[in-house]
Amino acid sequence: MKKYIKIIAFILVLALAVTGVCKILKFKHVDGIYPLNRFYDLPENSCDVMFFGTSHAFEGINPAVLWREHGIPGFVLAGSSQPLWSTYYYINEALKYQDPEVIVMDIDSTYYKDEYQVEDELGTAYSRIVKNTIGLKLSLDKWEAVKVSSPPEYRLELMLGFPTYHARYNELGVQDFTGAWERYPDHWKGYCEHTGHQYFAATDVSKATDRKPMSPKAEEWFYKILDLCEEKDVQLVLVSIPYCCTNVEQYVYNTVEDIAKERGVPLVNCNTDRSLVGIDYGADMGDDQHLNYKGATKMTHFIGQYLKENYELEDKRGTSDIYDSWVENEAFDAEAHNLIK
Amino acid sequence: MNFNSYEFLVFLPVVVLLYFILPKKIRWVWLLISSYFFYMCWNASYALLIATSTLITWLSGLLIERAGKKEDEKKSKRLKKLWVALSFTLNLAILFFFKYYGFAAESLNALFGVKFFTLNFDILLPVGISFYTFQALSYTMDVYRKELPAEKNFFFYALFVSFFPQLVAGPIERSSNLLPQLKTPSSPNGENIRKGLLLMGYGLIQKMVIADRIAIFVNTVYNSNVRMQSGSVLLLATLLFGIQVYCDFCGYSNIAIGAAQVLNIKLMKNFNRPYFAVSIRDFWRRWHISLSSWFKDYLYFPLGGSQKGTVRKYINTFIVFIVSGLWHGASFTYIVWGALHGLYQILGDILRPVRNFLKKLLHIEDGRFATRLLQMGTTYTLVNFAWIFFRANKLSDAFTIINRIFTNFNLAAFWAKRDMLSIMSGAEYKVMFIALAVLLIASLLSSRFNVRERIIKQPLWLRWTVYITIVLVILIFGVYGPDYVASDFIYFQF
Repeated sequence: MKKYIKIIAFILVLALAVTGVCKILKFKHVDGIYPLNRFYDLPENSCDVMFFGTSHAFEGINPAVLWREHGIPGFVLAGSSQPLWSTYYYINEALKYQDPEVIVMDIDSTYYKDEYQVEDELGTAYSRIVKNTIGLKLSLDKWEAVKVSSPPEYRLELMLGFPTYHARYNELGVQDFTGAWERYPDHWKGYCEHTGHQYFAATDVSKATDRKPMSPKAEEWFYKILDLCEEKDVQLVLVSIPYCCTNVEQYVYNTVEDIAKERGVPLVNCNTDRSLVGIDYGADMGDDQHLNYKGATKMTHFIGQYLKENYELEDKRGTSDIYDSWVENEAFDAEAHNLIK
Repeated sequence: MNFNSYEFLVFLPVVVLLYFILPKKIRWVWLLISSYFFYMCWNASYALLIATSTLITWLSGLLIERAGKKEDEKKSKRLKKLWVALSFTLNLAILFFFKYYGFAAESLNALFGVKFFTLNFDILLPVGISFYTFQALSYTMDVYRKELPAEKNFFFYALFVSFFPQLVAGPIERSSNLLPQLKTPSSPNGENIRKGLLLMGYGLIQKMVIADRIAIFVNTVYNSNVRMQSGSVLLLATLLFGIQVYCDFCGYSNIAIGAAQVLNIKLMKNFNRPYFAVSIRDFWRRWHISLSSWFKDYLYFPLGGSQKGTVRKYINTFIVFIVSGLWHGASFTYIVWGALHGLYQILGDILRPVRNFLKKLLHIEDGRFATRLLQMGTTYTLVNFAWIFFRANKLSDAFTIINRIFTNFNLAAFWAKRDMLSIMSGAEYKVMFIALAVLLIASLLSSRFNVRERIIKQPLWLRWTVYITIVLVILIFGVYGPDYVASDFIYFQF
């Protein structure tokens, strides 16, 4: 008997040690994985608006501004170049833990054509896929997400997790040991500031009226997202956050808008109607794809007004201490940008 | 399945657990099923081949024993020899077809300037065929030499041939050692389980942390256009390859021996700190021991060994090592490698009076530490020189490498961090060299005392720390996962 107790005790201690090591070595990517960590920490039923999509979303929407101007608790749960199927599973996951009034999804990923995320100048296909799948908590849904996001040879390792990040020992930073980035502490709500500043002469896509179809996989998962929101009785708003959009991309957005109209889902395209947000393409862009802090403030200001006018969203300031992290987040943002309150 | 795979991590505990739960009488059946399952995970049709070799050698055992009972001594001997010859011919023919036909065809084609000998289809090399064929043939010889009675139970004999720990890359066991053990299973032994798991852990570190990491560097250098590499980098790659092939193969053997030990089965030691050898002959008593003793018992001695005069001894030695080279691979580089080792020993023998004279002249005394160091250094150099041929992709590469080491050493290129860092990151080099240091320390310690014995005698907290550290080292520093390209055991192509 004593022998078996010893064996079990050993296995437990071993499991503890391995878990500890995992915690340190895990990926903490700010563009897809870390937002989930902070999301899981949110108090139950505290988030009223959630934002999904690609880097357009996490660099274009600043929940601190939303709280500052309207007292709306928001969270940006997006990933780098996140394809629609990953967004589906992010939304699905979010709805397990929160009960938002409105979900806002940026439609940037609707024109993606690939079967799985591919290699680009920022990383291998594998590293791209990792960012949009590995952060999810272990569940059957995660297995479904992994299956649809990756070719068969990656799937087991993505589910196990450890094989993908065990070799990170030479790139560990403070955030790996504390669990939080210095720039993005515990109260972080998913907004990544793009600190660049470039001037762009953006194409006027308001005249682009042609239609181009989505890729079959993108279309399939776009419909799934619409269905999911209907099923869970959550209001969905589609948005195209300002960037240097091309005509070809706009053609796909036109198709998306057609579908949205059919399903009675509002779509706000800030690229075809520049008066909505009033982006100055000389001052408000970080690069040709993303807004900088000024641009994000304008965008969030606009979306805040839009949501306030069209949906029942209460001002939650001073109502409960479950919103403390939003207060902290707003103060942190204000101080970082020397704003006068 | 590979030893360093997720499947094996599940396979082994299941097999061991059921082995100890099942009644002793049918445990061997479970092992047989598991072993065939293990083998068929590579390719189900391989099972047919191993079954064929099993059948042939099993029958040979029965027939030899029957022939031995005949009244007429002359006839009996002739018949016995016939069965041995048949067994060897058939099995070696199978081995030849799958392993050497392509090489032979290419060579004949080149010789006659034709394409006649090439077949229309690709011949896949079944994993482990060189190992289990030799193991099965040793049984034929052992029955012939009356070292053990023929095994009557075919399936039981099949377990001997296919026993999964050592099926794919050795150690090549003898029937007189393994068969009786498989026949007498015992209860789980805590000490054996601990020691076995420790040995497996060490083997996995050797394979996954050291060998696979070194392989990244060696493969990049040896697979490149070697004419463009500086001699210093080529030398480093060669020395590292010597460590890589040792850790890869010794690691695999350790995992095999450790896994068998968990099942209370003792397999033979396959490596004994080979780079501490004081002569080439000594090296071959420490390297791939199961193979060199196989060649000694089943090729060298039947050829006459050293009993038929010095010249014949040299010829026999040379033959054995050429065959050994060929056993390692169907390519001229392996033949040259084998021939080199044969030549080393022959020349070593011939030049002994010269060595003795030099020793007297320079006051180099036997038995002193400094002398041993000198002998080890010399042996190490000779062995690593031969490794150039073992690893080189073609013969011309080997000669280019040797040339560049001596004429284009270019130490500056070696220090040029940019070149080195293009192969692996600085952190990976650090891990590699720390691991090598640990390997050296472990080797030195094991010459003084039985390391595993010492570990399991320690107090609980220290034991557990060691076990957990081993697991963590493998998990963190092992070369697996998407950051690394998968690398199979080197000896899998044999």
